[in-house]
Amino acid sequence: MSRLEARPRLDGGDDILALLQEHLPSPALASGAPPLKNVAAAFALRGANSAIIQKDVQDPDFIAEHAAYYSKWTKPVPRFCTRIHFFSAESSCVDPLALIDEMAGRPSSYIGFTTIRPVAVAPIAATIISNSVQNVRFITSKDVFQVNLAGQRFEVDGTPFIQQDNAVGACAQASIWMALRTLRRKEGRAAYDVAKITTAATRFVVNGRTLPNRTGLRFEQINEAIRAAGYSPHTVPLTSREQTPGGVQQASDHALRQAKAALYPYVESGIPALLALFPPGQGGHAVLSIGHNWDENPSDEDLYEIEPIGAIRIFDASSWTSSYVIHNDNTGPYMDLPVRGKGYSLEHAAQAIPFLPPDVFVDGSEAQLCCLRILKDVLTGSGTERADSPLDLVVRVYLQDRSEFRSDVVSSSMSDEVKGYYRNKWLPRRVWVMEVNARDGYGQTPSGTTERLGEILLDPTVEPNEGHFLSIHLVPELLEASIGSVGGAGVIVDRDAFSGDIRSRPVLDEPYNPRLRGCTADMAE
Amino acid sequence: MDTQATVLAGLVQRTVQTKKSEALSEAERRQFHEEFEREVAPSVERMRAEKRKSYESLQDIAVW
Repeated sequence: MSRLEARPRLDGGDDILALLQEHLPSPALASGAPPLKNVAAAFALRGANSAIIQKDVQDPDFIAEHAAYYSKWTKPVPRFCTRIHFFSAESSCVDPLALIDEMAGRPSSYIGFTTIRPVAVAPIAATIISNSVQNVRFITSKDVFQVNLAGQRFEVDGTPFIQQDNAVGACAQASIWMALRTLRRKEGRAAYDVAKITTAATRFVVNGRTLPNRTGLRFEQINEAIRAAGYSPHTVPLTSREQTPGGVQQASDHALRQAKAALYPYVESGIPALLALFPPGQGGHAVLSIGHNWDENPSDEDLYEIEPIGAIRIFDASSWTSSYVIHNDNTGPYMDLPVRGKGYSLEHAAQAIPFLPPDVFVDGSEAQLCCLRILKDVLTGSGTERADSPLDLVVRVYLQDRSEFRSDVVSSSMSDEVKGYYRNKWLPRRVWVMEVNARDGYGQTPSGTTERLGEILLDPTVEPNEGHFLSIHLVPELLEASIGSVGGAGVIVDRDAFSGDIRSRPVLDEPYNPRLRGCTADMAE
Repeated sequence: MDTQATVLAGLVQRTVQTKKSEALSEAERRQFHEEFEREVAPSVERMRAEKRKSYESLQDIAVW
C-alpha cells in the first residue's frame, strides 16, 4: 500500500475540511473543533485546489509527545501521523508521484501542510500555512521552511502553528513551540518540542501534575522555559482593567492605545510575543502575536499621540495598526486580535512576553524613550525653534540585525552619501532603529510612497540612561520645519561606539522611503 | 523663543551653518551624557517599576 495518496481536485473549504476529517482518528470529531475548521479555512482562503496525503509520517514533535505520554496508555496510540500538503494549482494526475512532480514544476503553488495527530481531542500538530492572503496585512514573525516530499523540494513562507493536546502541553507550551520554531533558523537557537518545553518549564517550579499537564503554566514557569531555550524573557505590561461607572471592568481607550504601542516595536521587529489573555468569566489563555493588519486612515480615536517636540506633533506608528495577528492554538492560525471584541481581544491582554535575544539589554519602550529624547534634543534645543511647524511626524521603532539594516539601506532611495555612511559605519550585531516619517501620507506606507525624514540608531547593548546612540540622520526638510532655514543641508551626527566621540557633518539629501515590511498582499502597481 | 542651546542642537546648528564637519569637545560630550541621564533616568526607572509590578501581580497566575 502506498504511503502517498493524491487529491488532484478540491472543491472549496467544505471539501478541504472533509479531507482533514477523513484522517481524524475518531469520527467523534466530524463536527470539527475550531482549530481544525480554521486550518481548513486558511487553506481554502489561499486557494488550495489539490493535495497530497502522506501517511505514517515520523513527526518529531509528536514522537516526543508519544514517548512522554501516549506510549504509557493502555490503549495503543500510533506513533506516526498523517500529513496533508496543499497546492493552489489544480491537477489531472491521480498518481501521487505524478502530481508531486507536476507541482515541483510550479513551486509557487505550494501553500503548506498540516499534520494530523492520532489523538482524538487535539488533531492539529505541526502546521505551516503560507502567509499570503488577499488583504493588506504584515506577518512579521515568519520564516521560509523547506519541505521534502518524495524526493522533490518545496518551500513555504509562513509561521508554524500547533494545537495544544491538553496533555503534554497547554496553550503556553503551544505558543512557545510556535515562537521557537519560527525563530530557530534566524537565531540559531533550540526549537524544543512541546514535551521538552513542559520539562523545561517545570524544572524548578511545579504547580500540579506535569503530565498530563491540565493546570497550564504559571508566568514564572513560562519565563523559565523561554530562558532555557536561550531567549531573554521580558515582561511588557499591556492593559489593566478599570471599573467603569456602570460597574463593568474594562480598559480605557487610552490604555488600549498605549498597549498597542507597547507591543508594536516587537511585532515590527519580527519578534513573536506570548500574550497572556484574561477574558471575563474565563481562565487565562496564551496566544502568540506574529504580525498586524493595516489601517490606511486611522480615526482620531485610534491615533496615539506622543508628547510633541516644540510645535511638531508626534504620532506612534502603531496608530496605523488596526489589529494584531495571532496564532491561537485553540482557535486557529493567522487570527485577528481586535482591540475590543466579544471574543479574544487586546483588551484582555494583561502582559506580553517577547522572545528577546539575550544580547538585547534595551527593550522597546526604553529604546523609543531614548530616541525621542535625542530627537527632541536636536530639534528643540537650538533656542531658535519655530513657533509653528508644517510637519507632523510618525515615529516607528524596531530592532534589526545590522546585515538586514544595511541591506535595506542599499535597496532604499537614500542618497549615496548616506548609504555610504551606513555601509561603512561599525554597528553592533543588532540596532534599535527609530524611523522618523512624515505623517502626511503615512497611510500609504505599504506601497512605499511615504516620506521618511530620518532615523536614529541606538545600541541595544548599553544602559538606556547613558544616551549611547550610534547615529542621527535628519533630512533638510525636517530641520527646516523645526529650526528654520538650513540652506538645504541635512545632517548626520555620528557617535563612535568605542571612543564615544561625537561628530557631525552636513549631507545633501532629501526624503526617502521607509523600510518596507514583508507585505503579504499583491500591491496594485 | 531664546533659550540656551542643548549640546546636540548646538552641534547641528554649527554644522548646517558652516557646512563643515564639527565635533563635540570632551567637556561637551560629558555635558550631553549628564543632561541625558538626568532627563531620561526617572522615566526609565518608572517604566521598570511598572514592569516589575506587572510581573509580580501575575507571576502566580496560570494560563491554559
